[in-house]
Amino acid sequence: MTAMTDCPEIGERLYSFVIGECDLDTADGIRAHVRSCPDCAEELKRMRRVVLLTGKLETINPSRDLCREVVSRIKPPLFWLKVAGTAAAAAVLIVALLYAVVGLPETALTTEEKAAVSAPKNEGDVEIAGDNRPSPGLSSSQKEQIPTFPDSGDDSVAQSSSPDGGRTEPARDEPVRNDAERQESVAAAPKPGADRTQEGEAKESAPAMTPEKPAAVAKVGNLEGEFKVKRTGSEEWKEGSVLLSILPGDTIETNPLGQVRIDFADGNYVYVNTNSLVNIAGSGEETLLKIHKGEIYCEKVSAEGELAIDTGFGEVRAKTGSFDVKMFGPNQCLLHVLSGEVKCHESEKGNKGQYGELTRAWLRRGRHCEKGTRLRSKEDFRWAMKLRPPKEDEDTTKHAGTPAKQDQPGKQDPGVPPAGTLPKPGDQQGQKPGDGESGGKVGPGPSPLPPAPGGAGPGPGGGHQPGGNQGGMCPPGGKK
Amino acid sequence: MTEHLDDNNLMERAKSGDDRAFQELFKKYQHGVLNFFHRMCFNQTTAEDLAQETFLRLWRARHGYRSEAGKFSTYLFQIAKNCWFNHADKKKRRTGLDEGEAAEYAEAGSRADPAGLAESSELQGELRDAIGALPDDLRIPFILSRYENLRYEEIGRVLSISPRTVERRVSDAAKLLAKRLIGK
Repeated sequence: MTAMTDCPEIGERLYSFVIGECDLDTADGIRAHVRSCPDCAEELKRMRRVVLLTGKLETINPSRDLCREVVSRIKPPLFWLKVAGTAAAAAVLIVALLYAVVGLPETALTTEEKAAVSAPKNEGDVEIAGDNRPSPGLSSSQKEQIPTFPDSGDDSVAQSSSPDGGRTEPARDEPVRNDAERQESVAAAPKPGADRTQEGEAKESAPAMTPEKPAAVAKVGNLEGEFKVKRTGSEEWKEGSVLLSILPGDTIETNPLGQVRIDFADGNYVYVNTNSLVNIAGSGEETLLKIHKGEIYCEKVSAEGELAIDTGFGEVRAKTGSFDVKMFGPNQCLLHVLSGEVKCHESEKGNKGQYGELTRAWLRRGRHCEKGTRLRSKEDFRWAMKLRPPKEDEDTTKHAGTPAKQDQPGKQDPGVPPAGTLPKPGDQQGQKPGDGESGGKVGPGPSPLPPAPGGAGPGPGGGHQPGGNQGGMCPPGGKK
Repeated sequence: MTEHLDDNNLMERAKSGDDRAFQELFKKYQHGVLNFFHRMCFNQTTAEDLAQETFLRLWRARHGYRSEAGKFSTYLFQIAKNCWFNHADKKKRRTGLDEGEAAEYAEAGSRADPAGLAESSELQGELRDAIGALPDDLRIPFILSRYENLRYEEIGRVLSISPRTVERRVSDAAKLLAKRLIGK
């Protein structure tokens, strides 16, 4: 038996003794010692009490379905690879069929198209439609004969109820399949220049070449629940569906149970979470979405261009990687970067960001902070902002077909509850409508807002109403 | 059935892309990981985010997992610890909160768990304060030992320190807690 007489040594092991982490010899030594040492005996009692008290510390259960959220984040890449592979294989097959079976009768069409296309240049964008990216073997005229995303605004796009999001069907199959449908829809609701692949109607409609419908830039790749879509120039909301083609300027709104994955042509995709309102502002060299409320999770897969989320008061951009933007009212959002890097612009102030290592931050109109904490300087945080010439700022507003005037984030209905707190399945707490609008009284968590401890202070963001901070971001060394 | 497979087998399956196996692991350990983070920060939202991040990292790092290297839980808590340190590193940079921001941060913490706050007894508050006041290097081993039931050796592997050092740190943590909770 080890003779343990040294009180400090014993004292260091008393806790281990209490929780059974001591070996037998040590335990015997401690027992022997405490019998003769009142101080250590007293300390032993204290340790027992600590164990007892700390055992009463409450445990928590997840307030939301963490498993589902994690799995939804780990699945997309696998799923996307599968879909991309399937789509690519199918596309090759269909092109081969076009060559072999159809014998390319579209030769005549090509000349018409050339004539038609030569007038307006903005038609193109064929290459940007990823699933329909022309095969290398196709001539340029053939590329145009195989439209990218088939319908321009026709909500009656084929649907799929396949559980994996309906992308099992080869994308390139759709234009062929939808030709007849398109003729009907064009006839029923004339849309100038809608479809140049149709010999009859197209000849009549193309020459006028009034504002052309832009090519689809994305599709709904997966859908849970429901969502609505509002087409550019239309005030009518229509129910959306899987495989729905998304055009520049389209606005998507999900309901409390709706979650939509939008697959962009270049391989990027975004998840629009529940109770969100998102405008697809453009796609091409960059993919731009405007979020008015709710939450978007973005996967920037393609190394080309940038994927940008415009929050109304700033933009978050990524070249690659994944990030999540969650709006809390019109003036604040929470950015969470899961991989890669992002940069930010504050659109109103004309600031320009650099790519940096940020993983999570509060972004607000007029200032940026991380988890409610001021970012202090460029040295502290490489994500610091730089001023840029005002005219560059205009670039952020000239993305293709961005209508969005009616959807100015700043004009968001103040009664709209902050979206990230909307009842996702499994949520136990809800946020009061308007919480997110109350000058920054928002937080990552849902819920009733008890007064801030300490009471004083303007409350989160209370002194930072829009425009409240002139410099914007993080003045070097400021606010220490 | 995956239920009967041990953690290592589940992890091996997850490595080959079986997300069901991964989900099994998630369900088994999410409570522990979540509460580990909750005891580190006492903010449910942060704890959930960090727990989520931990499992995402686990998924990404699954190919680096070697079952012969130790228990799965050790591996998982190593990731959790790293997540916490990343989180804490960012906090360290935020030392200069102004009053409003400090209030906001505190409010975010309390807001995130309103139910818990409302129901918390005085003891819960004291426990939170006491554990929350521990420095990370004492708190992590203490929490892993006291609540996650990891042995000193396992904690040592998680933290890359010796079991003896773990014991000292846990003991120091317990003494500080005793001082705070029981008094001198």
